[in-house]
Order: sequence, then structure tokens, then C-alpha cells
Amino acid sequence: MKSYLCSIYAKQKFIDFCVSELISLSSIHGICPETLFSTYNLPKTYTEYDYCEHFLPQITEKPFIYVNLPNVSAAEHIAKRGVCIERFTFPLAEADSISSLVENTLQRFNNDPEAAQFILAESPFAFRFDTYQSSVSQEEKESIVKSFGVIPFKGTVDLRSPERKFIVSISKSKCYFGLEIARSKDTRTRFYAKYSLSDREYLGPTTTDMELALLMANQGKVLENSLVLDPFVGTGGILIAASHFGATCFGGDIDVRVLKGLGVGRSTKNTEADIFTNFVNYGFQKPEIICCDTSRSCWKSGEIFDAIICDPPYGVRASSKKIKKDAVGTILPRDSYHGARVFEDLLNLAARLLRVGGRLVYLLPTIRNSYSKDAVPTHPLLKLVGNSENILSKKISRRLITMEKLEAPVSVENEEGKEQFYAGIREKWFLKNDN
Amino acid sequence: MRLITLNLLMCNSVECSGRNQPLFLNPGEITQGTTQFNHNLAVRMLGKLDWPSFTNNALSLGHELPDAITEADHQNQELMQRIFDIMFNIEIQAGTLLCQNCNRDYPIEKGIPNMLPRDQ
Repeated sequence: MKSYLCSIYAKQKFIDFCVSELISLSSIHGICPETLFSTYNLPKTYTEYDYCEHFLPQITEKPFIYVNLPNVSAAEHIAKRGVCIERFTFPLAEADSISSLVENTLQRFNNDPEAAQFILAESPFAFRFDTYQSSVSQEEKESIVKSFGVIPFKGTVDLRSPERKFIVSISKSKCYFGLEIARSKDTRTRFYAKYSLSDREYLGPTTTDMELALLMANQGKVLENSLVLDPFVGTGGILIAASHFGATCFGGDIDVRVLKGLGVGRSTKNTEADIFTNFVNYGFQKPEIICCDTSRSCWKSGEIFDAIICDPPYGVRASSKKIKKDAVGTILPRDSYHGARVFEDLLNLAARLLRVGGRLVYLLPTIRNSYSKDAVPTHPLLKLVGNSENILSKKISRRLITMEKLEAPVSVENEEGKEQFYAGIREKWFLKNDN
Repeated sequence: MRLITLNLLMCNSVECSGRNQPLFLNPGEITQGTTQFNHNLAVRMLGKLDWPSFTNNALSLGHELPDAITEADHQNQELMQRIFDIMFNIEIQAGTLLCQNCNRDYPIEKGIPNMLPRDQ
């Protein structure tokens, strides 16, 4: 194992999910959180939730986490997929001020041959700056670079296409110096440009934000040939992200209109688009789409799916509907689908259809002042592995919940109170602007 | 809808609950898909499917398959390619699915089966 410094992309709007993402992507490479964060000597009993609680409070001010990874290639893979990850560096020094940063680097150079070899390499190099919540002027940057002159760098300076990039990271409380080994930004910009919602031929008002969809696919550990189900597929935003990682996708939706390109989803280009159109445009394998009711499953039981990923309708953005009567050919009125029931059905579905170790990833809306950990839906066959909050306003937030299918059931505390928690969540969300 | 999906579905009428009879396909319009052969995906799907009902459905569409697939067969490129094509490249655009237990039928339109319950 090697220690690297992971820089979090602090401007990412879903930065609250960065620790969960880092943990999920590392676990694809077989690294457990305990190993990943072993630098910090945290209690062995820590769950993913605790790690988030530990790292998140300061993350916007100091978006750096030391991680242990087996090698550079693991870091490259993680950086390539990471939505919240900016880069990995081989850390050379850490300090409270620039002057001691230079001093510490020099000391490291003198005492650690592995570190020294990066400095003594003959290839072209350059310095890059990363500043967080503190501005550094061009003059200051030049003087910082000069102060590093006491270290005997070899090779020529090449600002355009250096082979070695030394990163000086400056945040309010800490500075870091290190050699970049993997960067996520370039790949990220490319795939965001590719999947931008405004270019999609088929779109609905609640099509999942691309970054969020990719992040959820990361949480679901979607890989080449994974089988992925989105039981509330809508216009297919989440499945497009899963397809990007090579999944074979299945989607269910109760609303026939969305699936046929009528009603909620519509073509942005005046074509006869339907749910399959975007997949075809991106060159992905077409997903399998079923018109069905999650509360009355039409899937055979069995360990079919590697991941179930969705943004359930809870009556906040898209109204939640449950089929009421005969619906052959026509669309009939439905009764409203009680908030808590949506999640209960979803968890039951996941417990029935996921393979052991497979993941359920979904968004849970919460009213911040009445939220408690106990309100997160539970199931004896599903273990909660991730629960991070994305604050939307003073009053409301949504949580990214990740659960893993267990081999054998564990007992669950009683379910009372949850009904009450989700009752009226729609009304509460809409009160958000009244304060 | 592809044959793999047909294989994973069941009738959800109240009287059939718990009795997962395979659904019988009454095909209408069928188109040829263009999914590229992927050996690993074919092997993965073999692990998920109910083979007898898969071969039945394939047969009803004119494709004959062996009664059983062994591990050794996974190395048979020609056979795997054929199985993959039956799994992924027969796209049923229209037709009906019939429950052999309660006779309930589910229409398929524009490649999407309508599995909504009707008995509530």
C-alpha cells in the first residue's frame, strides 16, 4: 500500500457525497475503508457513515484526504471515474505555511530516496497551483516557485506539457506539495460535455442531473457487464450513466406516457423520440424497458441484478402514482402513493432481486430539522453502507442512501414512526420557501 | 423486449402470486438488434436464466438450442455467439405475453411489455 493525497473537487455541487464516492470506488479495487483511511488511526468500528461525519465538516475548507491505495494504476482508475475527485498526488510535504512547506520538502528529499527520485528525474516538469478559499496573486506564486529553488530539481521546465506536475495546494489552514499521479478533471470535462442534458434528444423535467447520475452509478459499483435496474426509470437518465460504465440496463416505469415519448418526456429536436433514442444516439446497448408497478412486482425472484439505482418519486418533483384500476390501453387516475410505501416497496424489491453484495442506491428526501438516523428505511436483508446528505436549503435536503444485500437477514428495529416521518413529506418540501 | 427479459418476468395477478410460471410469448412484430457479441455477458446471463423456458421461447421463434449448457460449452465460440444473438438481438416490438396459469395476457407495444396489474 502507498499513501497518496486525494484532492476533492471542492466546487462540485455534490461535494457532500465525496467521501462515499471515494469509499465505493476504492472498494471496486478491493480496498476497504479501514485500509483506505488507515493514515488517520480512526476507530476500527467506524462505518462509512462515520467516515463521512469525520471528513465532511472541513472538506470545503481543506479538500484533502490521505488515502492508501495499492498502486498508481488504482489511483488512475478511481480518478477516471470520480465525480468529486480532482486528483491524486504522491505527497512530498505538508505544512502550515509556505516557508515550512519548502523546508519539509527539502527534509523529505534528503531522507527519503523514493521521494528524491521524483525530484531528480530528468523529464520536463512544471509547478501548478491549487488554491482553496484563499487567493494567491501571480507575484506571490512566482515568489513561492522561487523559494522552492533550494531543492535541486532536475530536468527542464516545460509549462505547456510537462511530464511531471508538482502541485502546490494552498488552503486556509494547510499547504501541501506533491507530484501529480492521476487527474480526473480532463476526463470529467470530456464526459460531461458528451452527456450534457441540453444536447439530449429525449428529455423530461425531472431527468436526473448527469453528475448525480454518474455519482450514483459509482455508488452502485457499476462495472462492465453489470446488470442494473432502475425501477423508476422515467426518461432513463440514471441508466445512461450506468451504460457509460458498460452495464446492461433494465428500467421499469408505471407511466406508459414517459416510455412512449409522450407526456412527461419529450423530444427536444422535433423528432419522434422515445426512451430508447438517447441510448441509440450515444451508441449504447438499448435498455430493456417494462411498464410496471413497483408495488406489484413483475420480476421473478432471484439474484438477478448487481445494482438497483433510482430516484424514487415521492411526490416532490414528479408526483408519485400507483396504478388504481384496469389500465389496458388507457391511462386511468391513480391514487396517491404514500411516501413511506414507495421506500418500503423499493427495499423489498431490492432484497428480492439483488445478488448478495449487490447494491441499492437511491435518493431520500428529508426535512432537516425532523431528520433522525432512525428514519432511514431498513430491511433485514439490506445493510446500510452509505448515507450522505446533500443540503438543498435551510430546511430541506436529500440523502444518497447506499445499501448492500446481505447473505442472511439481520433483525431490524421496529418500523413505527417511519410512516409518520414520511407522511406529508410533499407538503413539507413545498413549505420550503415560506421561512 | 429481448428474450432475456421475458425470462426474468412473471405474471403478477393475485391468483398467480407465488407460482412463477414462465410466460408464453405470442410474437407479433420482431426486429433484428445490433448488439455486439460479448462473451462475458453471455456467460453471465446463462447464470441468471431459466434455461428450459429460454430454449422453449427460442424454439417458438424457430431457434433450436441444446437441452443443457455445460461449462465446456462456454468455450464453444460458435454456440455462444448463437446464444448471445438469441438473448440480445431478437427484439420483440409487438405481441403478447400469456400466463399459462391464469390466462392473463400482457400486451407488448413499441418494444415495451405492459405488466401493469388489472385486478385491483
